[in-house]
Amino acid sequence: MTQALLDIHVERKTFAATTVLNHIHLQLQPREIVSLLGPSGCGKSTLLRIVAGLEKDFEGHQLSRTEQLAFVFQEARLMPWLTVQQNIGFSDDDDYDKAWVAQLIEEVGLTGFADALPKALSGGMAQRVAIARGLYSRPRVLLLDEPFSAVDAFTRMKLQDLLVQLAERHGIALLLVTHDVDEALYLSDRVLVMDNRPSSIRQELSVQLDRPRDRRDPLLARLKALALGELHSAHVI
Amino acid sequence: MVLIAIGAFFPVYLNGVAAIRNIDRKLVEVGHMYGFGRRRLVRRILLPAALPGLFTGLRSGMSLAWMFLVAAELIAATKGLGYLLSDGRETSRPDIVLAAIIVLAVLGKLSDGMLAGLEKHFLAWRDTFTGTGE
Repeated sequence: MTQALLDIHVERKTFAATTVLNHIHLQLQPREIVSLLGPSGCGKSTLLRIVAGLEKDFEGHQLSRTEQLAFVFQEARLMPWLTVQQNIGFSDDDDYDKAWVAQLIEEVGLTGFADALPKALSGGMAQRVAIARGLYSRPRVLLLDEPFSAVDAFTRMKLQDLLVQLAERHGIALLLVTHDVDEALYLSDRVLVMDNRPSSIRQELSVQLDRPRDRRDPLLARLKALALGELHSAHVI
Repeated sequence: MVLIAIGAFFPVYLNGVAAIRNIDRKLVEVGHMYGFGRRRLVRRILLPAALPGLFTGLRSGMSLAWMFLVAAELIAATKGLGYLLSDGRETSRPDIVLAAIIVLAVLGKLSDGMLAGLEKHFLAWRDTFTGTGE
């Protein structure tokens, strides 16, 4: 087995008196796509923020953690005063790699919008820019916090396909937080079903399907039933 | 001079602080994610994000500066627009008073218009209600 990109133990993470995370071991292999599935408030976003290094106050340790991380937030979080291309190259200030940005703009399907301001973009387009900005630093791991929860169902499916395609092309591992069972199963190699508070990983579902996948695949339906059953017994639904 | 400076300082300062305090934490977090240091954070995120508030402060500061200017000249000056006002009043010359008022109005409008123009140019990215019913 190759060296894991991420290998992190979280013994405990508390907010004031509430324990949010308890005893979690998370591993991410190169090119692997893993989803954290759970209800809102179960601490999955917190776990992602710990992995990203945005949350430093927790008990536990990181055995390995690649520095080549990028984060895509729930909202696009574009700088409203910068154009699409400036936003994508944000991490390099004004001397960003123009050719690479142009290629990314094309890959996320926003050709012709390089000089548009974020106010002219729809929610789905803004999220495409956010993904491109995540890819700009050529990360090995892309962390995504419910990236498609604010877009409509059709846009979401398109963006999901785009994401998988981009991850494959650039050889990136994805760690995705979501509360959408279908999304988790359709995208991932492994789905980690989280418990309610204090949350730990309740079950790991492995999705052994080749890509591109068919959303109607009976295996996905079977796994969905399994995941729903698990969530139900966790008193989540 | 000191009076004008003090008068103009506070609206600029207060609006500036309020603007920085009002910045979306989420945008700042993007900077943290990229490992921005303090300087870079200020230049790339805090300053542009606070610009709308800074402009509000500058415009109200400018209007106050004009008012303090006239007030100062009314009380203790031997030349200037405020002096013309009180001099015209004392020597019963309404034409001088009226002319001073008009000049003040034009100057105020011009300086505010200049700032408004700059604001429009620098804040074209703002996605807010513009007041024109668009």
